[in-house]
Amino acid sequence: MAKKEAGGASMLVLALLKEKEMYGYQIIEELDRRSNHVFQMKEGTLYPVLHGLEKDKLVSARETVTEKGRTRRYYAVTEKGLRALEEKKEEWTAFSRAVTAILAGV
Amino acid sequence: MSEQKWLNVATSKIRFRPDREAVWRELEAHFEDLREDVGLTEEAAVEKMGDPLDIADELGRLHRPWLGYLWRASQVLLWAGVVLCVLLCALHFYWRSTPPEWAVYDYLTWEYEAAADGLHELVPNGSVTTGGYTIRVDRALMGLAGDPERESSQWNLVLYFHINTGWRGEALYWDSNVIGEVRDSAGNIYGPQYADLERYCRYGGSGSAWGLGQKAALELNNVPEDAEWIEFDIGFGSLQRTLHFDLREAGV
Repeated sequence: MAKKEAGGASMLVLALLKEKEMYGYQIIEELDRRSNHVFQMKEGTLYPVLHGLEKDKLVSARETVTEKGRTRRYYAVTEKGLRALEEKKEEWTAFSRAVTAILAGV
Repeated sequence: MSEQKWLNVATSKIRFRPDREAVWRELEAHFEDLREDVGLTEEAAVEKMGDPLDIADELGRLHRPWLGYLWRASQVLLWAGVVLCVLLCALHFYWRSTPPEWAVYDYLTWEYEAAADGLHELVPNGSVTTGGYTIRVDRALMGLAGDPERESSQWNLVLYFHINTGWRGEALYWDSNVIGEVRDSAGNIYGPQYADLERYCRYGGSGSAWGLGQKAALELNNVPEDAEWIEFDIGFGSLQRTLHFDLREAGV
């Protein structure tokens, strides 16, 4: 189940970044808001996910400096990332259908 | 746990320093967002970020140092290669344009090489170091001058020297100021050519090329066939040294 969680987190991050580029804290906020507080991960754990996606070239990153002089690292999904997202969505759909089917029979 | 400690622990497994510092800055920015935008205390922000040990291993695995070191090494090697190429090109063109006076190295031999029958290659030997110069016999030829059938034919000795002019590369004046007495094992003295003596010597030297040194030549006229060695006094005053040359035929 741990592997599925990690896979799930990266799929959710890719899905958010598909809409627009975001920085770390922004991603956490969006996940929390859209899931109606269901997905409230420990915020530090987002970064291995983000860096792993970047290493696999599923996302790209750029640094900017805000008006207040704060450095922000924005992540954006790549073409490869979009294809990976579609694959992960299909996997997840198949998985959730299987779970639903089993539970329906219980 | 303080924010600083949290950041240090979370990035502790990232061995390549530039990567570690970059991740440190990114995580610190997240803490700033929690403190300033959300209004959390440092303690609450640390709590929200979770256990730093949980992510330390993962971050260390993702940010392997060998890639970073390889990149740095390749950059250093690339620039070292560029500098080396430029240096080698400069040296190559410099050495190609060495002074044309090096042709003087050949001027004493042309009449001897033409008379190949009466030409003997000798074993080069003998060197001295004086005044920062090292003078070494590079090549030695014994040539028969004149008609071998006639009694007036005589043996002439031609010596070719290489002079190491050191890192300064200044040429040594190869003339009677530097070359003093020249004598052979039979006790004969060889004077300057203009003195019209039975035995004389004449000499010539080239310029000096940095890194390559200098060439010089010395010809002794009418050397006895049974002479065993020649000696030259080189230098003057306290710097005078004697270069001893043994007449040994090569290949014998």
